[in-house]
Amino acid sequence: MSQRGPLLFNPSRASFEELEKTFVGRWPQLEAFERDLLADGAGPSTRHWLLIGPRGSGKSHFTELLSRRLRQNHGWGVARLPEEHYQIASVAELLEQILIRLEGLKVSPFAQERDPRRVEELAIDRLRAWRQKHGKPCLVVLENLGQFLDRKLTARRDQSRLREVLMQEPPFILLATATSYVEATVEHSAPFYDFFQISMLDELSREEVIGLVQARAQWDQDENLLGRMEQVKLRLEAIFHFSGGNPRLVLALYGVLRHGVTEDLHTQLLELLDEVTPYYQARLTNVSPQMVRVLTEMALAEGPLTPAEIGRRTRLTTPQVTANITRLGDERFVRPGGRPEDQRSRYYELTDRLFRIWMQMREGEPVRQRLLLLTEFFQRWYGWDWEEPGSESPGRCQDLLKTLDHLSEAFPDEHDALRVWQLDSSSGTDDPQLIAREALAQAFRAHMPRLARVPRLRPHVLECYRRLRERGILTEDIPPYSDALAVQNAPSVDRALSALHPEMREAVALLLGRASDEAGDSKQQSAS
Amino acid sequence: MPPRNIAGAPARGPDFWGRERDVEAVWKLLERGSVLLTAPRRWGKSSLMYALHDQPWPAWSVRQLDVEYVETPAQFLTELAANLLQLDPVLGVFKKTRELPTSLVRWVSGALSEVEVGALGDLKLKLRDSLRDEQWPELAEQLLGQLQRLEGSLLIVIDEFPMMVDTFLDKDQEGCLRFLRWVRAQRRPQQGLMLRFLLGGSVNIEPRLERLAQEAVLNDLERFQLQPLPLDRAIEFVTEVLKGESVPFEEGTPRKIVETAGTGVHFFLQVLINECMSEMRQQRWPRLLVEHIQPAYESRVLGPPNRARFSHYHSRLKSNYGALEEPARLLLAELARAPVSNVDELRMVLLRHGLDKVELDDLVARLESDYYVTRSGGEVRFHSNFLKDWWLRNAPGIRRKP
Repeated sequence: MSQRGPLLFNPSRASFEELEKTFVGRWPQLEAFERDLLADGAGPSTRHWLLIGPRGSGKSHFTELLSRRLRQNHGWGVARLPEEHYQIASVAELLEQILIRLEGLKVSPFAQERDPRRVEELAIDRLRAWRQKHGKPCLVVLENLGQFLDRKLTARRDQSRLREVLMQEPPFILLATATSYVEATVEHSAPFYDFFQISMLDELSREEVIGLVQARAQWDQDENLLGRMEQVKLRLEAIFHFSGGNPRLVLALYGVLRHGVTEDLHTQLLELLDEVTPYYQARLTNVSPQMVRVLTEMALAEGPLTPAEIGRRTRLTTPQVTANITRLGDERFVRPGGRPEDQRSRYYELTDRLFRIWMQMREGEPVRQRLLLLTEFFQRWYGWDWEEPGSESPGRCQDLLKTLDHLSEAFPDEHDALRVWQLDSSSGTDDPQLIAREALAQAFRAHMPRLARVPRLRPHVLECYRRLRERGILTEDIPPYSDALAVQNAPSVDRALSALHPEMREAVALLLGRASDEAGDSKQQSAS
Repeated sequence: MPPRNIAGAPARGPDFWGRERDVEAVWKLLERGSVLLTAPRRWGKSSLMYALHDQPWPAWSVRQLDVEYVETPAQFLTELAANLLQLDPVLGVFKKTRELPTSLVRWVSGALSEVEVGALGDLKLKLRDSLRDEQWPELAEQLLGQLQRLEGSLLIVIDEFPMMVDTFLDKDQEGCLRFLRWVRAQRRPQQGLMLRFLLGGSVNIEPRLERLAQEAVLNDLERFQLQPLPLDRAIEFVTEVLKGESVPFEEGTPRKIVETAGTGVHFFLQVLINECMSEMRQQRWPRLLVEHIQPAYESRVLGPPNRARFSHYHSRLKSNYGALEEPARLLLAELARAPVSNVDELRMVLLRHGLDKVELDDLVARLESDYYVTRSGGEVRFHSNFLKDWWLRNAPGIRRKP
């Protein structure tokens, strides 16, 4: 079994087989990409590509696998440039480095040349000769195009020259990557304005996240994890609401799960947050203090915020906030959400939900409690410690419905209800009313997700919650039931949903039966 | 073979679709004289140039250069000479050294003797090394003079010509004007070879030349302005691209794509097709349906990639419109809110703001010639929905109509 930490996965060091076996969810995109490149290599129109995906989205895995397939299966030449571009400060040096890698040279053939223009021309001649001699195209993989154009190939003349090389009988096809749209490709006067064909790497879906963990476990021959895959799947389904589908985070999660699936989802989430802390801390070092301030406020808020609201909370002007949000949007930290009642404004939310939760856990006490209750809800919803809800017999459903009605009406004759739930209190008080209230709240939190998974019981669950709150039996709001009730009563359900953070939105959608990808959905539908 | 979805790079061969009439029109203009090809960036100028290069009319030879990175007239001459020498007939002329002027022999033939065939870069270096900056007018004159010994017609396509001229003007105004006068002189009818230039580029260099009272250096050129595909052809184009990409789609999808983009410019249609295909893959849709298009446009096309795409349209009002800046802004704001307006409604907008002295027709005509709007009969609208939606989202002071 590999002992390597999952965050250290380096595609360039992995074997072809490992790359293939652990590549999940993007096969259609990779195969389409390969078809396009092969067609470009054989035809007159040559596109150059920009693969955009946030950090950790699997760009390196994608480009590494693609380039090895082209090399091994189709005989292409491949030159993969180092991520940091330390040796490149001009178009001449770029072409020189491509040549060195393509030909596998130890020393540049132009080491004695002092004139960069000479290196430029001679390198182009030699690259063209390589292609002519081998009769195969060449792919150049260049990561961090944004940084490359902003910090390395800064001279306009150099960018224009590279564009000319890429357009006039190009000696290679360029496949660049970036974490976001590159200023030098969207600025109208820039040589590379709208020059690249863009392909986006989207997040993995829930099923793909499970597939990736399974694929990694299989590759690592982690029998322990594979042996309890059903349990792991349920945990992944629950934790997906918090982690999203960023492959790097999924690999971090995989690392956590390898140590065992704890009974408590919240603990496991905290382990995951510990695992990703250095990664998020590193990300924040590249962001200005004002942007961090905006990010923090957005993270700690109870839901997505408008720029004006962020301005009020941060004491920045709305234009300042908007400028920061624009830059954060370019870096894929934030994205626009829905619109509030006032249609002129727009909500913004953090793109990486785990990053937001990470910030919440570090900075915001009130939201921690909500998070705890929400993890508890998802844990129960996807729980493996009880029978399948689909197995509820019609008779059992009737019993549960009666219990719900009884619960809603019984207090202060709560003892019957408590007997039904077979709970006792360990609060250490003798006051039967206090014991009963606490036990009732616990019972509610523990059992309601299970009942709510049965579609026909959902309205009763919410109604029960409403009555218990109205009558003061539940003394505090319990998310996500409180949020679900608020959304249900809002004039526009969609708008009210858009005002929630994604994981809360998803929990509410589950409770309201509006989730399209509900876990075990098909089973529940048939049960109902 | 149906075209593929080429969004950005020049489309060539079967990917170059629906421009047969443009190609023919340009060849016809070239028979009359040299041509200036104009259109905004990404409207397909380079693709059209490649079409001329890849399939020349009989008796024509074509050589194409992209000169945006060229910084001096001497460097331009080097590029031109090295490229022309890739044509066998031209090479033949320059190998007959006894018939050439001495300085030209020294420059070209010397370089030719030292370079392997096909090594364009090496040839450029040799030519560059043996050319002194002050020599370029004399050698250029001799170089093109020798071409007159050829038969037939030669087309030199120079992409990004205005951008190069801009650089020349920044570096050495006098030298640049001298260069432009020389280029113009080469465009005069000659006795032997029919030599034509096709100059293309997205930067409009003419206002700068007008300010220098030098517009005459370009006013002999025939003009060809690229236009978007008309609606029916645009729908046909989208249909063909979807077929070329093996995308299953329902009947109304191509029309919806064209209507959503609000333009027949190939590039914008292809950007939208690209994003629809990405969304399709992501959502695992078996077919691209009409209902998929608008959400894909809003979620994938608008936003970060579109934010800077048209900002120059906004800034250009300030730099180029003078007293017409404010009325232009008002009209565009109105058109962003109410996508189609008739001229009378626009006149009312100006009246409401006390701008009754502005000649509306002139202003609309100017906005039309600068690719902001199109006018059809009495109706005015943004040139594309890409631009309209950019304006709506990014231009200051715009609010949606309730």
